[in-house]
Amino acid sequence: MSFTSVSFLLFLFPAGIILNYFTKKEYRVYILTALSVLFYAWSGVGFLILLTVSALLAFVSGIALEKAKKVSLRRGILALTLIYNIGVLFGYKYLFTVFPGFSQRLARVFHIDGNLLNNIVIPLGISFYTFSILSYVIDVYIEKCEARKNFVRLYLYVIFFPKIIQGPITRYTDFMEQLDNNETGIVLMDEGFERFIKGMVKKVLIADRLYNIVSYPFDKIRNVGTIPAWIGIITYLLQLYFDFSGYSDMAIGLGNMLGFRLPENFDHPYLSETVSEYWRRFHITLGEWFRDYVYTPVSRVLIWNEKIKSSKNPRLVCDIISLLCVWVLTGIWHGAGLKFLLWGLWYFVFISFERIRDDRRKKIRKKKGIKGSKKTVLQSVSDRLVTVIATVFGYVIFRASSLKDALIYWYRLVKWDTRDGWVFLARFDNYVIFAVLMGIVFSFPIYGFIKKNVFEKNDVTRILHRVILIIFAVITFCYAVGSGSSAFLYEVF
Amino acid sequence: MGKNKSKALFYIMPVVLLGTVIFIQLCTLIKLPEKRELNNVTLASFPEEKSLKAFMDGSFQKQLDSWLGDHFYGHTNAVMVHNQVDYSIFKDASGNVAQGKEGYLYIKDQTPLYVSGKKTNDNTWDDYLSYAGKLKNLQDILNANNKDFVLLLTPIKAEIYPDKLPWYFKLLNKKYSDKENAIHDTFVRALKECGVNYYDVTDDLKKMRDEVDFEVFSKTGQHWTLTAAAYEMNSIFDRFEDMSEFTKYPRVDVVDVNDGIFAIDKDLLDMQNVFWYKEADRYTKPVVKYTKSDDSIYIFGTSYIHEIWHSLYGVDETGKDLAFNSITAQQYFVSVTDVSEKGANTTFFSEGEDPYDLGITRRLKNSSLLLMEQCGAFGVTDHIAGINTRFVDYLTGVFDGEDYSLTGNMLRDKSYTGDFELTNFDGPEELGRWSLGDELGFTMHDSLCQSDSEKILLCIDAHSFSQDRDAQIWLNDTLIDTVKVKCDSTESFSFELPTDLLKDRDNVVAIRLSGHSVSPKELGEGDDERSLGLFVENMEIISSGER
Repeated sequence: MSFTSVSFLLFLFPAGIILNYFTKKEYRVYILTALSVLFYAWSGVGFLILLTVSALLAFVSGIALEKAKKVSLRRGILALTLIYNIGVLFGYKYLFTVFPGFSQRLARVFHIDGNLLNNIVIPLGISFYTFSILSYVIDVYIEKCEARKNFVRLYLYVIFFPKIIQGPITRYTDFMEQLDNNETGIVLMDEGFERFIKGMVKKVLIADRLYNIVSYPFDKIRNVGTIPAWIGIITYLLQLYFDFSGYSDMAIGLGNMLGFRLPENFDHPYLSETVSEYWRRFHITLGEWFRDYVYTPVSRVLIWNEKIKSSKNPRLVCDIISLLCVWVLTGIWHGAGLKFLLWGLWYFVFISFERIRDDRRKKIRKKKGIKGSKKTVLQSVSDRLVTVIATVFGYVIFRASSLKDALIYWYRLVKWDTRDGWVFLARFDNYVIFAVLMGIVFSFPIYGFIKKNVFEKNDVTRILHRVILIIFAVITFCYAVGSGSSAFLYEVF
Repeated sequence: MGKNKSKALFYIMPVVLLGTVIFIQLCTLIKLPEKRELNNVTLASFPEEKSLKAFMDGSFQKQLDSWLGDHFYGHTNAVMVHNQVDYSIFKDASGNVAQGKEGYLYIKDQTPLYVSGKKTNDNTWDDYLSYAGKLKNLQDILNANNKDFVLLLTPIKAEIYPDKLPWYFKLLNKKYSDKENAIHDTFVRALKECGVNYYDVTDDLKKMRDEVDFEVFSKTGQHWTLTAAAYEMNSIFDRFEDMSEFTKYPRVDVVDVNDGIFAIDKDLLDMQNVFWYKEADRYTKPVVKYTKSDDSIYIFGTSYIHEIWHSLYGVDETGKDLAFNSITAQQYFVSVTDVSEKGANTTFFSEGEDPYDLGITRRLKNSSLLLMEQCGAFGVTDHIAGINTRFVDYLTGVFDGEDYSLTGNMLRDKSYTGDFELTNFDGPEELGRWSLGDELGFTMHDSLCQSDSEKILLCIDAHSFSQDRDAQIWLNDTLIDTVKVKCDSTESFSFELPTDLLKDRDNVVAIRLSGHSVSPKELGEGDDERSLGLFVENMEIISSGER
């Protein structure tokens, strides 16, 4: 069920809000669980069973981890849970893609159609809920939190419908604290509506309108000119950001309406000066997950390594190796195949370069006795240039259907070719231009500025603000119905 | 700033939005009908598969989602609000339609074909030459069969009204104003080089647009107007006369022009589904008088052919007057219209059907001219041009051969049987049809033969039921042959239908069987009570020899 579908907007959404609002605090968990089950079952009851088994295993593992005293036993339980969850994720997402021969062998053994396995449908949100489960089990293992004794509560943490499909990836401890102290109120609900409408506008009125502009150069990759290639990838950056951040806004808004404050996932990433900063502003919760569960533990282990300790700059070496682990996993998390692995490594190269560069700058500043960390104008401009190159070329790998196509697209970007340029521009009708302009404008924190300086002045402007939001809600709904809202781009991950 | 906030403010959005949603839900539940209906929109149907498997894999839910999306109360208004915003604020139109100046609407994906020249498709000069060569070959073959062939090149709307295009297309027009690059002009060069008989009406229509006060292309449609087509007919026929040997052309005189909707053209404005729109001058209808020709013509082409044949028939609404003896108009492979003094009869086909089942050869055999219409701007390999290629290849194959079928298998399940009628045949089965009783046959309404030296053969593949039977073949009440039809195996039979016995129209073929037909039930072989004669797997009429 998509957040922009009629079945959600007209049925599950109001049912969820109203039932949750008028239900006693202690029963809300059951209402929310029931609604989340219905929401997820909409994508297929088979997938719901799979998710439930994973959640049950996490529940049992949590209790077992808490009760087990022996380190080896605890390690075994943790390993088993990780293997199962990562195994399911791997099985669905990578096995048949990375090893196509395996599906044929499996098909022969079980006398089934091999094509069924090759075209296997990935359970909705599997990457996201697997990370939620892993976060819980690891937190119990490192004794950051206690194991949950009530399965329904843990189940709700895994399946909570605003975040199940595309995040934001929520930490167990944060979520449980809010669930235990759920405070639904009209102020938070009002905030939630505003956020939800903002997300719908981003997705339906901006991201979806850019589809034709993006698909043209990527579909005609072998015949596309330089202008369409550049416009295509820049538009894709807008489409991806508004699609994904639109979803996150809707999820956070829904969370607010239900009495939760889900973590922020975006913070105007296109204002970033460096690639590292970009990734601190884009898909924030994934970055933080990798930071806490991969980067930090790996760094801690490496710092005690004798070879590293004896190197010139052990901290830097640790950082680089940890970053490599993080970006290999980030690439793989996004998809199977060499394309995503190289996409991850592409960012690793830039972020490592920045890490080394910053280290050198720091030393130079120290040598020259310059206090503070302010960059020169030249440094600032060159950093931004590197970030633009890294982002534009990196997302070509991400969007292209294969690595070969990505390389051809790169060639189109750098080798001047006038073909198709003007024809492509004919796709820019009035609406598309409006969507692109809105995309560019709202990549900056304009909305917050306008809200603070215009709409928050007095009650009249506040009413006006809400009336405008209601009008946008109606128009966006009509657009979702009239032209059909496409699937969210990150849904496939 | 937040101190003076009234708490009531926070209720505005939840109350208004949730209230609206609940209202919609209630109206949907009580099935309150909507006041309006959408034009040209097919709504999703309720999921058919309600199995456990569909429920488990989510396909049932997916279909239910689509169904709910189309059937909630307010769906029509929601779609119309969306379209209205596009139409009024963004000056755009829904679907594949672009809104130009003064209410002119254009098909979006057709327009760059003109304004951006060959840049928009992958046609090479060899593609153009190859297609033009095919046309020339067909032209020669038809000439050898005493028929004329002319290709009529038509423009798309953007070629006649480029100044009314929306700005983003005009930008392209400016860039690609070099005529050497245009698909249409490259196509014309190839036709000239290969010696194909063609006439391009583009310049005539451009000139007409500047000289007349009616629309040459309707503002809200995609075709040339009937009035423009009628005015253009004499110019077309003047040029055709120079290129023809076998056809005498009529004259079409427009004596008056009235306001009125000519409904054949798709009205793009009606398809917009908006509340408010700019009312544009839609259509005009000409009042026409003909100086008649005794010849018959076959027209093949895009949907523009409707304006051609309507210019040549019935535009005065009497339905009796037509410029030729008879006209056949085939639009792609989807419809064939037979126009005669009796009236116009259109048969619709699915695109996948075999060309000869449309009766092309039989109809073309009775015509002295094949007028093939094609939009120059589409080039030669686009989807629509691809249909033309299919037609040309088919005809070349047919007329180049010794024999060809005039009917196709007459026993197949046809949606239209207007050109012949079967007698005493039951419905179609997997391999053929059973005849019922002791006599079977058909009446062919169309003329079958034009030349005395031509052979017309009736070919039948059949076996009888339960007993071998003698079969007498009668043509127009004259016995022409007798054969034995076995019951244990299907045999092929071929009978020549003597041309001296054939009439111009309504030829009756009867096959009379010896003995008496019995039913399987009578023989104790089941419950079937039909008295079965022959099981005929194929029955067709073949033209052979010099034509």
